[in-house]
Amino acid sequence: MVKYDRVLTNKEQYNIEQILDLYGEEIKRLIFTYSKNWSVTEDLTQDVFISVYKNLDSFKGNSTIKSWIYSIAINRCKDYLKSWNFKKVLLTDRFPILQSTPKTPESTIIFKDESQELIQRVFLLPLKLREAIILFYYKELTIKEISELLDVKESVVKMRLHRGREKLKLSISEGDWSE
Amino acid sequence: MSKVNKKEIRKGIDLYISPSEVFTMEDKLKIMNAIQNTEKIEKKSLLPKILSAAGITSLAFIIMYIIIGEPQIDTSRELGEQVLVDTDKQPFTDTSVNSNQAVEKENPDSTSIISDDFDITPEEEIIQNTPIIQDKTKDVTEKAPEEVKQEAPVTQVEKEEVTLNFLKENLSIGMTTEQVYSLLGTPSVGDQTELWRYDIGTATDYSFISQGEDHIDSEGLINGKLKLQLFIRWDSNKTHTISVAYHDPADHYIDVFHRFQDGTEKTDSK
Repeated sequence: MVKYDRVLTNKEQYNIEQILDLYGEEIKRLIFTYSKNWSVTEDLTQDVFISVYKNLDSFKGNSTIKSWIYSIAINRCKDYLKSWNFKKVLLTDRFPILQSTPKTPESTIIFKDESQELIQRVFLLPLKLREAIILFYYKELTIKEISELLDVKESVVKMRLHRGREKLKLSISEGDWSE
Repeated sequence: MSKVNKKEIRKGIDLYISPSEVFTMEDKLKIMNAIQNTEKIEKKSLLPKILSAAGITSLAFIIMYIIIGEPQIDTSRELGEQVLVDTDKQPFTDTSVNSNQAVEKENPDSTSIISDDFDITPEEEIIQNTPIIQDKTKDVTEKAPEEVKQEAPVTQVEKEEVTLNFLKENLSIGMTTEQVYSLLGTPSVGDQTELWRYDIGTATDYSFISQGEDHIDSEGLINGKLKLQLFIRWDSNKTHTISVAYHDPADHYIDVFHRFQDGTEKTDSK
C-alpha cells in the first residue's frame, strides 16, 4: 500500500480508475461503518469519488492520497449524518443494522461466533466512539493518523478509544482489547 | 467469551459488513459514468454562461454607445481644431448628432446633457474659443459618473435589505417557489432540488465548495466573506424548513436560526 501511495502522490500519474481499483472497496466498507445502510453507502461512495476526481488538482500531496480520500469520505459521511436526508432515512428505516446484516448461510454460521457479538456491539456504539474504534482496530490507523483525520488531539482519540472499549466491556464482560 | 485481539476484530468487522466484495465492477462503472456525466454537465453549463456574458457585454457597449457616444465627437473636436476653423464643413458627421441639433433648435429650453453639448451650431463654434468647448466636454464626462453613482446605491440598498430580520419577517413556511424567487431571486445552489441554498452578502472573491448539500460555510461566515447562508427545504413545492446561518461576532459562534414546518423557531450555536 505504501508503494501505491508513493506512486499516486505523483500528480502526473493520478488516474481515477486506478484510485477506484485501489480504494473503492475499503472506502465503501468505511462508509458503511458510518451509514449502516447499503443504499446510502452506494450513494455516498459515488459522491466521495466524484469529489475526489473534482478536487484532484487541489491535492497538494501533503499527506498520502489514501489519507486524503479517507478525510473526504469521513467528512461526507458526517455531513450526511447531520443532514435531513439521514433523519428521513432513520424515520423510515428504524432498524438499519438488522436490515443490513447479511443473511447468507455462511454469515449465519459466522454470526454464531461469540466475537461477532462484539462486532455487532461496535456498530451500536455512538458515532464518535464507533469511529475511533473502527479507524483504530478495523482500518488499523495509528492514533496520530486518526487525530489528523478527525482533526482532534491525540489525547481525544485515546479517550474515545478508552470510552469505546469501556462501553463494549459493559455489554460483554470479557474481551482483550489489546492495542 | 473468548479473548479477541486487533486482527480478530478487523476480520470480524470485515465479515460483519460483508463476507464478499462490496465494491463491484458495476459500482466502478457507475462512478466512472457519473464522473463523465458531471464533466459533460459542467461543459454544457459553461457555454450558456459564456454566451450570456458575451451578450451582456455587447448590450453594455451598445447602451454606452447610445448614452455617451459623443465623447468620441468631443475627442475629435479636441484633436482636430481644423474642424472649428473650417466653417464650410459640418463639425459632426454623426447623423444622430445632427438630429439632436434639429431638436435643440426647435426646443431651446431642453436641459438634457446630450443636448447641452450638441447645442453648439457650426457658427457658434467659430465664435466660441476652444477652452469653452473643452469645458463642455468636461461637463459630459463629469456627469456620466454621477449617473452611475445614482444607480449604485439602489442596488446596495436592495442587498442590504436581505438581513436576518428581513428573512425572518419575509420568509414563512408554506411559501411557493415562485414567491421565494420573487423575494430572493435564483438560489446560489439547488435550483432543481429539495434544498435551496442562498449565499447572501458575499465578497467578490467568495467561493465555497460544499461537501454536502446542507453543509454550512462556517469559514466564510467567520472571515466575513459571507454574511448569511440561507437554506430552504422544500416539500411539495412549499417551504418546509428555513434555516439561516450567520456569524455572531459577540461570541464567535456560528448561529443557525431555524423555522420549522409547525411554525416553531429555534436558534442553534455551533
